[in-house]
Amino acid sequence: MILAALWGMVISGMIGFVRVILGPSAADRLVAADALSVIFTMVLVLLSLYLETSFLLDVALAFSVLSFADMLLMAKYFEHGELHK
Amino acid sequence: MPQAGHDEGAPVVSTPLLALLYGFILLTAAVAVFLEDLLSSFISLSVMGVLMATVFALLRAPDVALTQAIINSGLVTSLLLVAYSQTRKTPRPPEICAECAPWLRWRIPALVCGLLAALLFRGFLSLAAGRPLGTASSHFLSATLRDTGGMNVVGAILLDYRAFDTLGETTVIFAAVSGVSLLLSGGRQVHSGYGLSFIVKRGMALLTPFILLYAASIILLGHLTPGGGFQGGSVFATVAILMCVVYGTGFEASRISSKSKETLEAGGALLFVFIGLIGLAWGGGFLANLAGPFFPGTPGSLFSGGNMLLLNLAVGLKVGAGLSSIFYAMIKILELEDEP
Amino acid sequence: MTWAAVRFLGGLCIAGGVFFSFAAVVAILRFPDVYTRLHGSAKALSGGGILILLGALPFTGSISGALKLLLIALFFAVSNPMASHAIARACRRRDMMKEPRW
Repeated sequence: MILAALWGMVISGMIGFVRVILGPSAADRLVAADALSVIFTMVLVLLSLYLETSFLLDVALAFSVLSFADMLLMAKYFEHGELHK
Repeated sequence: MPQAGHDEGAPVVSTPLLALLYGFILLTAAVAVFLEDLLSSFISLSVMGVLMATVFALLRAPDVALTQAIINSGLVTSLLLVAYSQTRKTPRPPEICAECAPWLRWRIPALVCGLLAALLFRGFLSLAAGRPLGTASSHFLSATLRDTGGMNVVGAILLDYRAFDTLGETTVIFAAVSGVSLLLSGGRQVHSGYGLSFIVKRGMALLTPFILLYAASIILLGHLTPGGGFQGGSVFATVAILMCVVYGTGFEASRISSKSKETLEAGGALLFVFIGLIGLAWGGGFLANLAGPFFPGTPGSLFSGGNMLLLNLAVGLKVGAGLSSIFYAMIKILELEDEP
Repeated sequence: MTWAAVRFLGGLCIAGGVFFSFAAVVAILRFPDVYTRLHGSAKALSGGGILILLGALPFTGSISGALKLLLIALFFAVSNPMASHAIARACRRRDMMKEPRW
């Protein structure tokens, strides 16, 4: 059952990546990248249930913290054109 | 408590899922190459990094997945964006290799990339099969707890079996920081207070102590759980970069000066060498762990693993201070002389 | 409640979370403008993520795993709306002159 949930999330990720390919502006691609990073954090959590090890939850927590930082960085660059403004 | 990265009786990795993720990585990389706008290529590259961390996690390698997730999202994005914003934008050159034969233009590179992708996939399949590889890894998996006292096998290899190599890696980071600071020493530091909006500023003020505590726990528990000095130091550097991004340079530059960052970085390197010299003075050799005066302790507790705790701390200090020094050197404003 | 009933509820929560993720992806693909895409995906993923994390609680083998999941859920509930807000404000600041297309 966890495997079915994993397949569902990865297929959602692949469909969401179509917007990164298509999106006419960089803003669309940024929105899609935000959604993809959340989806793959959940994929990491489901993988830790599937492989029955609790070390991947550390990886999921670190990735949650850092994808949040990543999105703030890209939003700042998109708004001002430079990171130190 | 099973050792990090060694599970018997766990379900075998699902090969169709691995194949799907692998194809997804290839698609992301191809999209990053062929997109027109560089910012969109950076976005696609960051998605590719996420997928690589997932594939490493699927192949039951939590330490590599943690390193990939931390380095790709925090540091690669920020350094790429800073480098892109500080360089002049030239128009895209015309069609590359316009006078080559048409069969050379994309068929041969595509063939080479396809062959390489097939070989790498064959390698991944052998890793996913669930049996241990018949190389030195089986010795490390069985002998680490006895030889070093620490439970994280990758951390033990980095800080006990191959500790001299880690000293070389910290020297590489030191060389990079020195080079960047030297090249960009003529610029002036800009002070601005814009940052992001009020909601993000208040939210970051709430979350930052917990992120810093989490980074410290990655460093200090590096001999028990996946992590270590390098990963925790990178999270510290990412927090320093976020302070600059969210609050503007006028805020952070007045709190942590570049002088104290240099002191921390040099202090970390000196601590590493000093611990090695203690092992040498005891008679066990440079960077000796259990042959020196360090005790293994009870497996699984905080004070175990010999000198791995102190070495993790040294590497964490050095990497954190060094990488944030690189970022703060790169955002200086350089007065370029325009060509006549 | 028996343990099997709790696991069944957890499975339902995970299935709900997967459905919300799929809804968010459909929103990203089908909506006409960047603001509507951000609206659909941010709301659906913030809720769906919490559902998956809470639904995974009965399946972990130890107390430390359950505590880690609660920590991830708490951080995620605070940080994901903040990141979406930052992206939306950046998009709005970038094109002040353009009218959003419904």
